[in-house]
Amino acid sequence: MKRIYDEVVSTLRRIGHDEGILLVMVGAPLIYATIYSAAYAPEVIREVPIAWVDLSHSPESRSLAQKVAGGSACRIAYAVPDLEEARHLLYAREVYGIVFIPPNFAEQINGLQQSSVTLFLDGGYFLIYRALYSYLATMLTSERIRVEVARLIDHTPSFESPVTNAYPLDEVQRTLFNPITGYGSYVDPAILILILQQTLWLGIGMLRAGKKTYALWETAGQGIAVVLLYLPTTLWLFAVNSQLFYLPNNGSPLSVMLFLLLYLLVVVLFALATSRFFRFREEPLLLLFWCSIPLLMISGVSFPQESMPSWLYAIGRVFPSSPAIEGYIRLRSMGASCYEIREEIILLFVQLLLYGMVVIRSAIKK
Amino acid sequence: MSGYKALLKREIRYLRYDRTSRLLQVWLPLAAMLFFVVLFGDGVIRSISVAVIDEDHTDLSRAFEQELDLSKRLQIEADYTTFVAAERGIREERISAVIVIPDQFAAHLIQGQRATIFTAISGTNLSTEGQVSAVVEEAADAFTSKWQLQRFEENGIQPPATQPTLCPICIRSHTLFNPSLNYGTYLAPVFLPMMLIILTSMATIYAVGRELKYGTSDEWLAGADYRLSKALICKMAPIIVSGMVMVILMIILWHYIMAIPIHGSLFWLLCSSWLLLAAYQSIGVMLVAITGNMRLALSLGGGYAVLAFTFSGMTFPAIAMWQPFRVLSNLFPFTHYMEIVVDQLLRGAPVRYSFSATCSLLSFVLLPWVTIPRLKSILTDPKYRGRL
Repeated sequence: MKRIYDEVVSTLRRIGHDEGILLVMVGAPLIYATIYSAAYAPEVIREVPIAWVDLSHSPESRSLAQKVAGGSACRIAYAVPDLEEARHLLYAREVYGIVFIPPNFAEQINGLQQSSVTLFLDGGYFLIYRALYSYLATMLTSERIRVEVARLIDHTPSFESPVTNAYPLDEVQRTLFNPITGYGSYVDPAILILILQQTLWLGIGMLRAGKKTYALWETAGQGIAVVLLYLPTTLWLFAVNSQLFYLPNNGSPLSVMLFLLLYLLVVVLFALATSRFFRFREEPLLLLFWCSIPLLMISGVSFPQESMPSWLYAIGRVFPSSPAIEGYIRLRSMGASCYEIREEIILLFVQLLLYGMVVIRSAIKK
Repeated sequence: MSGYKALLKREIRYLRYDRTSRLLQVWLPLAAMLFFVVLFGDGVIRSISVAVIDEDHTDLSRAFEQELDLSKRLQIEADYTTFVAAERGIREERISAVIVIPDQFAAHLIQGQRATIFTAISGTNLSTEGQVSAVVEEAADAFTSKWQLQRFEENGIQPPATQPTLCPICIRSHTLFNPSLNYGTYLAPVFLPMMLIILTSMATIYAVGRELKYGTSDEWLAGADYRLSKALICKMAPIIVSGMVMVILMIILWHYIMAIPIHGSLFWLLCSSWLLLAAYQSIGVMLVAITGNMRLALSLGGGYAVLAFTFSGMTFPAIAMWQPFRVLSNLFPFTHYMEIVVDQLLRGAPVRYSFSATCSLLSFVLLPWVTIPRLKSILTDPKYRGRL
């Protein structure tokens, strides 16, 4: 026990005196978490600039422009005379969409004909496209229904309920667990889980690289030291940072705490087990930075699990971050019970056992 | 020329015999490309599992369910018969959404009242949430049109007379630059260069930093007659050559495997890719010069390269970020490169629109060279050699 205690103290000292490891294990989790959370903190896209090309110049088209400008999703940044100028603004990133009103818009509306409004939306930026399309389609549909009801009342008196006929289906959509469909609420929990794994993996790799085997007491001491170091970090990431940036918090605090503790232990064992592959202390930095993004993708958060090959998804299960991201999001954001995330918990326990065995085996060899 | 040749030979020898260099410059970029090509496949999100709870059990409710089923993007799971069970299914991530067709759905429509369709979608995955939402809206529109036509016919109004009354304002939507809204077309041009800049940064810092770490900086500089620019050019050359080979491979993958059309100037795309890699090389050299410590430079360089993804605006757009972050996003060469990629790959914009982004990239290549005098003093100062 004395040897383990000494190793804990010596490991903490080594970390404290090595600015590279200190930056990775103490600075990076805090800096990354703050930057990512703050960058995504606005959550939704507002006031996307659009160009308005009105060739009708009629009270009807002006009323439509007022209606569109009334919302917060987009703003009419430019009213231009033709599509050519609007296209220039689109290329110059001054606007991300164009609304085109044809010259005979008012005549067609008043003459019982079918009129049209054309949207040209930039599909090069997905979230902007989505925000614009959803807002403009809603606005134009409500205008369509208004005209349709008026026509039904005026011209088809045989209809008993023109409003219902124009709008027979009330389609109510509710987004669960993330009501404003905020980008930060969607991606930040996964990023925080990944930050914990990657910085710990890098840090332990840097600590232990260059030596194939460590005695069991050395490994135990290093593992305990890193867990002690990461307890306040975990608290900061998942309690303070999550509160500061209003990330979803629907789970039971005790379940979340126990789940994170399990994850922390698995990551430490995973990092201890894989550290023997690094031959010198900089190698983890060289080889591990690149895999953060693939690990995020393979967890099924950024790219849906249903759309990736099942074998690729299965490979992701080797890393603690994959089950942890799924389990944590469901526990914390969706308010799932431990029973409802049993598969992820079982997988983390299996990893705990496997990586624990690898660590003990390589230490016993010594 | 003999000096250049010897220096280049030295770097190529490293590439041949050093496992880490080979991994960084050859195997990891190839692995990353293969990973993303396999991951995105054809880039289409399909078979999202949803539950449909039909509480009405009428021909009309089944007709609505059929409209949903027509979309290949949804996979309707038959195991859920109550909302509570479906909600649990969402929490267990077996399904992504539940669509409820309530009791009296058909009765309300027939009586001329408004019927309701209720959809609850998990918001913890925005890519699937958007798809489900769109499919349900499309199904509701298709169902509404058919129902309205049927009502007109019942009232003795036949097409085409129904057309202007049914749809007085037709909304024509054109998705520019990625008309099929293909997820792969959108993400592949972001992730593949992202991998290349991380690995190029790391390879550069490692190549310069190892001269300090192993105390070989004097030998390296002596081979270049103590002309640092000559030494650096030879050191950077193999990294940028292998990087450009990867860029060409990346563009081939985009175009021939992932079927992403190149609408703009391929030449400009290649030039800006070269500038991007050179910019991250320059920044890597600058970090070694500032820190005089390979490990610290690697930590900072890796962090800087990874953060570029967030600030590129390709996930959460920069125009939606807080003002200081919008300014900060300009401090990453990758942000400017992505503008050029969107312009030249997706938009087919005239080259003049990519000119300012290209100048920004060029400034990232040139500006870090102000730290060259400091790098020279570090490389020649024995106290920095072998420093951990």
